[in-house]
Amino acid sequence: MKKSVKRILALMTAAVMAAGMIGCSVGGGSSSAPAASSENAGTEAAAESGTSSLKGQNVRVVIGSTSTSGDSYMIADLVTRYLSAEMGFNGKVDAIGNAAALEEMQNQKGDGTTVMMFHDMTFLSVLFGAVDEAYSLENMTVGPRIGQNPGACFGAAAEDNWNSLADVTNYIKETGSDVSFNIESGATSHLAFAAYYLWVKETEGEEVASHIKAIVGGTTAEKLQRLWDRNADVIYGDTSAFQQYTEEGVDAQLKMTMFGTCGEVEGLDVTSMADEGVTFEGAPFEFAKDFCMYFPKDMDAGVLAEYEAAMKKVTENPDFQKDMAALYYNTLSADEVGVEASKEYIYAKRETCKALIEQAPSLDDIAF
Amino acid sequence: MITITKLLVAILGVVVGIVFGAIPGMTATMAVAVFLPLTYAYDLETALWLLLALYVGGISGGLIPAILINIPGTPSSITTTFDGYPMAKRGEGERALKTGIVSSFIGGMISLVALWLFTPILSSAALKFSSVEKFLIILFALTVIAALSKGQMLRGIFAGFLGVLVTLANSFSVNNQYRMVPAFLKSKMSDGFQLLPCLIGLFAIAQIFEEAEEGMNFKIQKTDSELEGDVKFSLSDFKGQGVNVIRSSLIGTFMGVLPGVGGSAASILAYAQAKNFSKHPELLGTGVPEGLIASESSNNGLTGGALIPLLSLGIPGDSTTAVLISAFMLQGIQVGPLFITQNPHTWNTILVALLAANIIMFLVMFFPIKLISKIIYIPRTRLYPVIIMICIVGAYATKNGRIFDVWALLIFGILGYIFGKIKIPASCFLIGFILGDDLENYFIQSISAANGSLTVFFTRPIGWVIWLLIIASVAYAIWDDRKDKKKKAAAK
Repeated sequence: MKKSVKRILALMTAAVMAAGMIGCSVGGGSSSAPAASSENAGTEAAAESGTSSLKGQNVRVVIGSTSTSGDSYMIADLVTRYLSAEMGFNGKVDAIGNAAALEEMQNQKGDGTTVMMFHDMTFLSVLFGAVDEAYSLENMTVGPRIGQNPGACFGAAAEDNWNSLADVTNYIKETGSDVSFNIESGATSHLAFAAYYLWVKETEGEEVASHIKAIVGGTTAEKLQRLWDRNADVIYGDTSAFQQYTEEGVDAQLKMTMFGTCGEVEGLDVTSMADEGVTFEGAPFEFAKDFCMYFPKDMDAGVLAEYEAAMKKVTENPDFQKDMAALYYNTLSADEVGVEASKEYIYAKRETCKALIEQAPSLDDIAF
Repeated sequence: MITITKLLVAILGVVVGIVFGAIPGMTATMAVAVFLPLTYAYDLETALWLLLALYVGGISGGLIPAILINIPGTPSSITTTFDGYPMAKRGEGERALKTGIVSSFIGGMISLVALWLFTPILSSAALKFSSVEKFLIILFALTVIAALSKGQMLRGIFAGFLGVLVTLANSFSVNNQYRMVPAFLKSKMSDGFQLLPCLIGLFAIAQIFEEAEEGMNFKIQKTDSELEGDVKFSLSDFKGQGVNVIRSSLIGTFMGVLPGVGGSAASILAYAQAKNFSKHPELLGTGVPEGLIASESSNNGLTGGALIPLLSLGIPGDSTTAVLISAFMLQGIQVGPLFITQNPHTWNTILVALLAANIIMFLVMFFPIKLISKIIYIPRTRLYPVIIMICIVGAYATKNGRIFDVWALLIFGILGYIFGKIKIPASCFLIGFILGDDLENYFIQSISAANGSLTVFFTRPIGWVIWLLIIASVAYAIWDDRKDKKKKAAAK
């Protein structure tokens, strides 16, 4: 190899290394810390003292979405950065999708180097039959909850003048026309849609409910395009993704309204489903997306305790709270992120969802 | 403002992007995704300079292996192999590479002008393209199969349909039910077979199998130092190609503007049109600059085009811009219909950064290309083990480290080898594989919006125009095929 080529290669390598170091120095926390022995399992004492057996190790955070711009990536990335600084590991989020992430939980060791951070679809996909029973919560370890997104909502073209789910119902009653809802099968949108459908059936009768139709599938971008093409009347997605299309100055074809959030969103003037009176089994329907850590079934108890202790510190960190609020996500209290409390909460939520799914109409019957 | 830091990160981005693009299995999307966490260290402007440079470098780097070893570095450089590799085999590797680089540069610049001047118009036009028009455009791109399988059209069409069938072996998103997937593979195949293992299996591994069988007796017809002056690169290669380069760049740009229509479709469509409008269509595929120009100007035309829906509608134009959107979100900036008016400074930064990235790409690639082009002279017995290793790494990295994708690579390698034996064109299979997913998606979207009525495909004015193009393209391919057969029969 010629000298000049060698020099160019050396320079290029140096540049890549330099850029890497700049990035690590700012975002990677104490990434330069010496690696701890991977054989050392975590201990309660380590958790309490704030040290971590994962210090200096690489930790892979898998999420059940393949998007790097949705709420799953945003929350996982934020939590991973704070946990990396707190526990001293090098965390990286891999957006590998639900089936692949669940598979990782079955195949990886419970040493804490692989974590799944995802929302309720983790158990909803099993309940809806989208993935096998083998991936149920019983075959993994529920870790600390990490945050909540109450901001999933319905959206419609502004020209329809629908500002609430009641407006949609009234439109059906007045015109007798079908209204199509673009949702994802086996996801939280499916659940919110089912709750609305059952509520209309209960309050307005079967005939009105029969005009509520489902269009299934699609990413947020695809749902928006369906709305712009007027191929779907109502779509379901995140308020943070929809908000800009509600502002003044947006082209008429793109302009939309938001309504029926699954929970209260601070700083946004949008009615929630519960505010509108949507109920399920007599109780107001509230379904904020809960994000949680999941680990393999044989998870080391000591390392899990370290994660719990670190997450409690993170959730009380004002900077973390500020970052979460900027994205309209809710921060939880230290008590709520505790492993036992999280497990109890997630299992209870699964039971509620199970009851709702059992009563929900089959999408095959109401497909548009 | 242009600063030394920004220029340095842009050079770094372009070089790393080219390396990613040139390694089979690594893509521009991966380059941007890998470097995304690094951008926390930078302000938004510097981050954009780096990410856009990675994007431009990643798209451009794919031409190097496509031309020199017949392996497309990225899915959008498949059509570059059709003429680039035959040129390299004739000893015209340097000429092919330089033609490709200049075409890439022109394509990039045309798309930049489109982004700069016509973003509002093009985004409005994109909104006129509903799922019906997108389905028809994909169908139009599929007609390239007819053109590519001249002399064996039945086999080509069979291969195309087979490709569509194989790409649909996955979990159907509408009802989450698996189709054509054995029970033991369900956890691996919710998204089906990945494109990159299929691409490099069919092109790289199958080719290595074939050459291994023949004893690795690959020879370059002439070394470039022995070539006559008229086959060395000069700008006269672009003489008479003005329409081709502009048409192909605009096809690339417009395909980028249409959200959800894959980048690979752009070069396929541009290549098909270059063949349809060529004075010597029979020469395309034998190693002529015309095909190379169409392919490379269109895939770089995509870069500016794909940014248009991202910055004006808030939805990404291709897989790389889907990752790029995260960079904005992580910096707290929402891209969408009000982005340009509310963030004029960032908008200008994007334009300047994209201009700089294209210029740097040209300088970094054009001048050292003489050295890079020597790869083709490395004995195959030494080169192929390295390529196999790179392919395995690339396949493994496709879904962040799954051994299943390495097996898929081997399966498609064997399939490609069998295709070669029974004379089924692997390129047609691949085109079906690439376009099949979008074809199904937009078909379902269209008919579900029309209550199951197929008439929806024949009731929209833009659709009529695309139908005419489809019919003309197929009719021409059939006529050309028959003419060729008659000529051969007469010669006998």
